[in-house]
Amino acid sequence: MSARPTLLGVPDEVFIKILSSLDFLQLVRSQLVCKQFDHAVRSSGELQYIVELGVGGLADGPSHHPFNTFERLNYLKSRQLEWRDPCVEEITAIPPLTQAHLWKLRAATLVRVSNRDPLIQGYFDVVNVVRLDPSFVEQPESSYCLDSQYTGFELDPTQDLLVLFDRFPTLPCSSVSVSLLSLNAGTPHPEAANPSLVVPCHGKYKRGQSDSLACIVWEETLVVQLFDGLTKFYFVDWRNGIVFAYMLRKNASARIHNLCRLGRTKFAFIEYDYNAWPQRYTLFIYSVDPQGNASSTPDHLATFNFPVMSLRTAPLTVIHSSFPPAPSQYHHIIQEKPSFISHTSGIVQLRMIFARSTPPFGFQVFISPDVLLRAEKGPDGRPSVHTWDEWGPPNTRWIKDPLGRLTPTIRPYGYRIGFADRILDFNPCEVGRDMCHDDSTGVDELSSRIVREPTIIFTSEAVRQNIASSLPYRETFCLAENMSQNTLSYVDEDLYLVELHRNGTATIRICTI
Amino acid sequence: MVLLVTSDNKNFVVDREVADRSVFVKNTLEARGLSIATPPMLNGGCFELTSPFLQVLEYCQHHRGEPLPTTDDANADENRKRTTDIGEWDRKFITVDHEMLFEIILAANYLDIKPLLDVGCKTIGNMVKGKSPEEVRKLFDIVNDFTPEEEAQIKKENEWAEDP
Repeated sequence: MSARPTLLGVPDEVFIKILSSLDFLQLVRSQLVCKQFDHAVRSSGELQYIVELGVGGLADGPSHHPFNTFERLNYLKSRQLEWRDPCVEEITAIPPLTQAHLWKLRAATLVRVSNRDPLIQGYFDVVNVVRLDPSFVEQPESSYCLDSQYTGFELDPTQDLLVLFDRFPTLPCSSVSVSLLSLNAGTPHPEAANPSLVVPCHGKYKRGQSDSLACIVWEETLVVQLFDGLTKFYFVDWRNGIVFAYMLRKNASARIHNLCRLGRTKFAFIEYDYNAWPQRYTLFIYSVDPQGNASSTPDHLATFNFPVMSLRTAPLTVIHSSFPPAPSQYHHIIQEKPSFISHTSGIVQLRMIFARSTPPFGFQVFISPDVLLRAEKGPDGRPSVHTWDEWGPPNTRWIKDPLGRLTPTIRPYGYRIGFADRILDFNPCEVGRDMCHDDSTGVDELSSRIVREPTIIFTSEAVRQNIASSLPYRETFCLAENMSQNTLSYVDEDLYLVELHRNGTATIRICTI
Repeated sequence: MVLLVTSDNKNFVVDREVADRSVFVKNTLEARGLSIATPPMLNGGCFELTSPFLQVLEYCQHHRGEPLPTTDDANADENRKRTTDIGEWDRKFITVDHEMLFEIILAANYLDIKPLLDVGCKTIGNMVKGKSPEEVRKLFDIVNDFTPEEEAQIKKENEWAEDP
């Protein structure tokens, strides 16, 4: 008598293979079939990974669920305690601070940048957050109000040094201006021979592509990172005001995050390769000798995947995920201003931008190739584009650029295009405009940057069809800092994730990697 | 030519190229340095192997000469992406009753014919897709062994996943 083969009788690895062909929702539902299904889903790392991706909204997941990032992570954590130890060691909630625009964590020093007066860009507070208790009252250690606009900063409290960066993309030779100030007094630093340095940038420098990042090693060496298509590191002797060394990383599809000092002689940064899937963040640690020469090869290299990094210690080999995900999985479908509208032929050319959350790190943004929408002919045989308007309160702010010219920075952004049978509303977000200078052609171009999360989700079946047909996307990049104000720092062997919530509170997660 | 012997003592003479579709057979042949014959004793002998084996042979005949899937992990992901759909011939081939389907999957697993195993697993996955737990139980003749409390607990755990 031969035993009849059944679904439950197949070997475990085959059973898991069968389940791994299910999507996230179906997998979770299948737990209810019987104990063997339930056990397989709970105990298999591969299947749990599908669940994780689904929970993270990364694959096959519900596009809107009631949990925020933090709750989702907690949920995952509680669920996975039984089969693995999370390496998130400590979670600390910081009491609400007043509205902040940027956070930076350097060994328990939190810097808050605020724009109290919209006409003055350079205003920020340095807040020491060593005292992390519920009764903590915000008391800035120092406050600065500066005349000029700056785009980045670095500080070294032990040397009373505050470094401000300003980029001059419109000058004949693109460059970054470095101001060396006393942290306590706000005046030019007494030890700096030249408190206003200029670090030249040799290529086409695009503003807003990467934060101007810098750190200080060996007390007197300032490491400045620039991105002009390739990532470059300049080593500056800040006391003598000399740029004396230069290092290049040849990966054009990578963005550098969170350059920071590590100990006295090393610096570290996290590189995000936006061409890689799954998302991959690589931590690099370089040594610098007292002459400022960085070693040509990194001392340490660690590659990890977000969002899984904080929850999983074992390397993952199988990823079940379609990429890019289906349109229903996008959290925000953002519509840029139509780049071309023809009222005679009824063609509207759009460029689609999609963002989806990638907890705990922020958002990932996809930009599609140009999409053409063609309006149907109206009853009179004419194309039926009949209206398109820009709306939103006129809220353009003007700032001075380094040459004293006034340029608009931010405005609300919304468009309505009417067709005979439907009206498409595009009301995505506030878009900041930046000037970008190309040295080789001498041309200034406008680039836009999303500065506020969109509030309206735009969906239209016709556009979805266009999305599907216009894959793959030409560009993807991570806008974590810009869009969700999450920051990541590497401090003393641990990784600090700072997440700023909308109500003003913040969470710091300390992960051991 | 290779002589393959199943556990119920049926002999099959097949081309080396066909036999090599099975990584198990290929490795066995290479390890022993044989080119003429080898008996891959399909272990257990607990079920009739002739008919699923014929099916497996048919599959190997059809796909003979195609490159074997690589095993490194970078490509595993690629392969997965490329094979989310089952090919036309494969779909027809795999349209068999449940029993035969499981036999084929077991044979493919044992003989290490990865593409065939993939096709079988995906076919079952497709059967499960869009079905309620009760329908899945009925389809595969599975007994619900949860207590009502356990069932409620799982439902509660997964509440968040359902679309609002």
